[in-house]
Amino acid sequence: MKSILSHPYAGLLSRLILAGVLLVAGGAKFFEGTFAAQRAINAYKIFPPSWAPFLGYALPGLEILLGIVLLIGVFIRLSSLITALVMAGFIAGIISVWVRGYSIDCGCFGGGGNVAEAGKNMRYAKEILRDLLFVGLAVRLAVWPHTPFAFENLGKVKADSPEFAEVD
Amino acid sequence: MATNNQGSRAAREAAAAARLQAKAQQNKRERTIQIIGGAVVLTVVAVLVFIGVKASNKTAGGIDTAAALPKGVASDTYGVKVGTAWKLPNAKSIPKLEIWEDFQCPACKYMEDQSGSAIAMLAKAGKLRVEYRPTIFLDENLVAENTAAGNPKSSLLATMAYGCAVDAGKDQEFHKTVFANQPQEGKGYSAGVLNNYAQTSGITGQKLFAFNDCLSSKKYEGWAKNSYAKFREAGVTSTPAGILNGKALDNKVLTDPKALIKAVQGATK
Repeated sequence: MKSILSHPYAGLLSRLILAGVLLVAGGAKFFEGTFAAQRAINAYKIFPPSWAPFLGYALPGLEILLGIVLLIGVFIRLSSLITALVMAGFIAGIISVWVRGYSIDCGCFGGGGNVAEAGKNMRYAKEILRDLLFVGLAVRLAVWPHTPFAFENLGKVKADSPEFAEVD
Repeated sequence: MATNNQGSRAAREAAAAARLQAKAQQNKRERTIQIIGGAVVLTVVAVLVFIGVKASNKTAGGIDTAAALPKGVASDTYGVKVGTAWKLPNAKSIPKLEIWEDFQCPACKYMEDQSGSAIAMLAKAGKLRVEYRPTIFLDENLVAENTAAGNPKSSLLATMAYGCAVDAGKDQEFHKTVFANQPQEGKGYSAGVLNNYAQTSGITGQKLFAFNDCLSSKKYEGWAKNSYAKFREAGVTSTPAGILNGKALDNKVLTDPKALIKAVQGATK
């Protein structure tokens, strides 16, 4: 099990999945317009409404940035650590609205705001499970950041050279 | 032996030097990659900040200061003020209830059905400064439904008509008529149906001509959008939203006339 998880190609897969998810989610939110993003953030009732215009761009912006960095494969350990923290933050946000009894659309991939109560628990549970999966991928990547086809590999010695063991 | 020893020592030193050089070269390579990576990150950040600032400027400046305003509407809130209390000398000490509504919102209709007459009564008696603040956010949520029904941007159209009814001096009647006849969510309003509501509200003769001119020329489009900009600024996430003396009212209170009157009494100094 461990060898499958730590295999460089499992790392490549995690990296590409995370990059794709971050770019799609961040892009959808970033470009859907200020109001929708603000409404999504305000629906959580965590931050004061005056922060919403800033967060409406900053959060998706951060996601896009992490997505690009992971896609090309630089600073993989650092960026996957940040990704894990961001995803954990999203999970905390969903748990907090769940506990406080609000029924909102998480706005994870755009949209957001208050929605009907029906199917609320199932929806939150699915969102949390999905984000947990992403946390798992990001943690895996932080533990074994070496993956093929990463830009940062250019700075390293070829895998078949004798120094390879020292490098990684 | 001695020469042999010396030879292997020299070889070891040479190998160590080669390793050091290789290590230095590799550090240099890694540094180069990190610098390029850092440059990529900075470029992405710069582009995102640029787009973000540009887009938020567009919406922050979403207020069209040149927009025509219905009679009695001021540019600080763009709300329609209802009731006699606004003009009393002690107006400031009378509770103020701001109500955010979208003409297409079924929950707003419910609120109006329940509490509309209590609010009108309090306003008429001078016990409450009522300010109706229109928003048109459902136009974004109901694009497909409104278009299918042949009434795109119905919230905007109804709000523009509301502004025209304010000019005709029949804003309360018109407001009440629209909510009383609100169609199933998504069906929207046509100009014709709004004209009927205007007549039902007592807008007739010359005033009806003026109302139709006002609506067809979209005189209050800018006003409706400005009020919507204020809605976004306020961070309100759903309608109806009642704000009594600056504090958000629970919708359970807003939709219960008895509880609402009690809350207003409690807010009266």
